[in-house]
Amino acid sequence: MTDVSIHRSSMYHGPMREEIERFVASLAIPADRKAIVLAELLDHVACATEAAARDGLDQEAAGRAALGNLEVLRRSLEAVETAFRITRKHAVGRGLVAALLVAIILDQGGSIMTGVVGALVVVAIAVVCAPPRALDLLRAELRAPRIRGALGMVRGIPIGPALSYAFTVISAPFLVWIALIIQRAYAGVTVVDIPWSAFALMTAVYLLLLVEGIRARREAAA
Amino acid sequence: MKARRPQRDVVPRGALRALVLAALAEEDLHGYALARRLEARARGTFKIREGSLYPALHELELEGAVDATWTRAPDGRRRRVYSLTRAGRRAAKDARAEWLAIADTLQALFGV
Repeated sequence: MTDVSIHRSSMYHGPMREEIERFVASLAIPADRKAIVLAELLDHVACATEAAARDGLDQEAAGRAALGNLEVLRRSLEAVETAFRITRKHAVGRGLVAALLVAIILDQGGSIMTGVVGALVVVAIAVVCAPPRALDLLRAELRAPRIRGALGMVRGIPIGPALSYAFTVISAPFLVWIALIIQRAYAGVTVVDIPWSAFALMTAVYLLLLVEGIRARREAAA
Repeated sequence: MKARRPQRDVVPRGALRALVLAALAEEDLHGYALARRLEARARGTFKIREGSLYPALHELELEGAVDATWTRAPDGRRRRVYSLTRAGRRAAKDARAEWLAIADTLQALFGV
């Protein structure tokens, strides 16, 4: 009888499971995180009810006690899980805004923007426009298991929001500058002056990717 | 007679993080086992609230201090087991040193 009781309580075919499901469904967190939170809470409550059954205690009460105050849990989860909310589309949008600012400031900033000041300004713009906790996201993405690409020929890291932002912010300014060069060429301006600060952001991002990539590889090897 | 220490409802946020790292440094654990491990070690002085445990674990996961892998409980339900990454092991060491230093300082300040 006890075995059956433990099994039934762990599998949650009762009101508590529905309560947990309703709670998780109502959380303002990304859908893929909801699946994780649901599995963890179900496992947590199942463990508590199993322990109560072993100790001859009230399983329902143990399950509820293990679940704790759902509103406190909601606040904590919604505060943390928002960092997982950043989608690739959202990151690319931020990257485009940052790239546009970088392109305009370097193009219109005059001689002061051609040197160190320009380099610092563009890096600062990229940092300010980055998605929340972008560095943590980048580290998580670089540690992710390798997957096959769209063509299925090579394996690589999945491009998540942080990498999407990084690649957008370093490549989009060049598209703007190329468009400006073409437009000015049509207007008769054929002299192109490329300041070295135009490459500062690209250098900074690739250095960051190199350092974090090496760290991720080392961690994986360890 | 030694005064009975009161049970705390919550563990300070930074302390919980350090305790989670310390427990995972010894063994890979799932959430429930981790909470019970910490409570057993605290000998009833505090209770780990789920409202703080899972968010703390997810935050550590986001920072790359812990990794989570899916396993199955004996009855087949899905379970997430947490383990420390290399960065997490370093963080565990640092957090332990930091909290022990704080404890030493407080003991000195209170003249314990």
